Amino acid sequence: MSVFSSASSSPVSLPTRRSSPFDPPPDYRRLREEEPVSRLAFPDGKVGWLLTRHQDVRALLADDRFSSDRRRVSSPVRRFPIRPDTPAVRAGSLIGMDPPEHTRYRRMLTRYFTVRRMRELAPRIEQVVSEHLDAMERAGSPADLVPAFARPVPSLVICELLGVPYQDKITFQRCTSVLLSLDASEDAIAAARDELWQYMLDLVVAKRQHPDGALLGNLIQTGAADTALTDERLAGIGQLLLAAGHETTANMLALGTYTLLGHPDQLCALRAEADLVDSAVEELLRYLTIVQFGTVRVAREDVDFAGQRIRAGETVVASLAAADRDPAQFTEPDELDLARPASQHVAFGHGIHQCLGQQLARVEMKVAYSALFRRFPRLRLAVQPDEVPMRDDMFIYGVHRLPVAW
Amino acid sequence: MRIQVDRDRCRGAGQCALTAPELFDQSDDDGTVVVLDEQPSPALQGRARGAAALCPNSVIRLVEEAPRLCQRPAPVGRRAIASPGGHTSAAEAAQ
Repeated sequence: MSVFSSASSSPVSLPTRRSSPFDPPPDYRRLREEEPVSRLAFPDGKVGWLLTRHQDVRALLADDRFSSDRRRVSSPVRRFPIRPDTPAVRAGSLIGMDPPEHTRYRRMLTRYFTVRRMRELAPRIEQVVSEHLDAMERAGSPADLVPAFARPVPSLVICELLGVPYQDKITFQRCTSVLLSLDASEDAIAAARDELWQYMLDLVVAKRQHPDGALLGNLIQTGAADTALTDERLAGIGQLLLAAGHETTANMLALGTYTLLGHPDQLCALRAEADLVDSAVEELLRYLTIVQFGTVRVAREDVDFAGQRIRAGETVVASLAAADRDPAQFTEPDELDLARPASQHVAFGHGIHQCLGQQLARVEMKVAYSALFRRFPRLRLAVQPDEVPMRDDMFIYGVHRLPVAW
Repeated sequence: MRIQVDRDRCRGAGQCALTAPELFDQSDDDGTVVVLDEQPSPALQGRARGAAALCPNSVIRLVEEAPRLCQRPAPVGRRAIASPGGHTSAAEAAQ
């Protein structure tokens, strides 16, 4: 099926079919070149817009005439409408908030994720990484990198940061993977959401009795006089940070490793020059842009945007993956170049909602990639490249499994 | 060059403190930007431009000092492109 019938006529569907595991669907290129602000048909029957140019994506995400209120947007990939959450379940989920409410939450939480605090975490992250590499080495080659390394390292780190017991990982990992799956039914998603939320609520109630020094306990102690900081809101905060904190980095670690193994000259350069890891992390973020279906906003009013009239109430999808391959912004955008200079990629989004945990993700990736390739200098795929199962069916792209040998 | 910031717009993404830790830090209270050096030395001005370009909320404004009057004209044929003067926007700084 072709994306186009003819330019600027009937709406397109969100491109989802890839022709290579490392590149976004090729239809994005044609859209960006021929119809960069295109009409988009949503699975719920509504029609909105799709942005594929870097400059337009950045402009949208910095424009306060567009709202992040998740109750009002259509999903570009789900077959059923997003069922409105109950107010209690929605509380504290700052990703779907607008100012001034969003600003209060963001200000309250940002101090836990500053560049300085994340750098202070580096020694502990190195320890966690090292312990998992030890276990991998002891168990022997081959191994699946996802359960052995990529998933547990960021899970354990975010659990310690938040004060969530890591032994409960089965519960929250299972719920999160349902929430992020395209194939899950509406009922399954509602059940996973309720279970995860109830888990966090119980945890917050327990922490009110016995607060610890981690993020949730600290919020309870420092916000003790703040009646607005209810258990429900704390649970919402915890739920969002836990899901965002372990799924995204886990996928960058496994998919990034697969990518580097598929680009041996680049991997060789990274091994030869340890300092390259800073720019390598930014380049992997750009090149892979794992929030594969982009991010959504809804127009609060009629807006003239990049030559089109967007009507109040219409959903606009900003394709982060397409923007990060825009040749108007990046030289040779489809080349992986670990030495690429700082580049304004939008893998973490842009504007007021740009990823709260991005500095944690950066430190985790730097430590993990460096240590992995140092520990196993002969790391290689244990299957044929085309046998690696890709997460085409998940909101966060990556690999389901990565069999490796050394 | 003088660095000006609009802390009301800042959401603490930390791009500035990551890119130019000599010039920017983040508050322990709310994570918003703290300028460590308002007048960066020439050696650090490139990093200041990088931080301004990467800021997701256009918080950082770089005010270029007025050019000195007695500046020697550049040789003909190799003239630098004249800066519009005044403010350097994030987009310009990215170039």
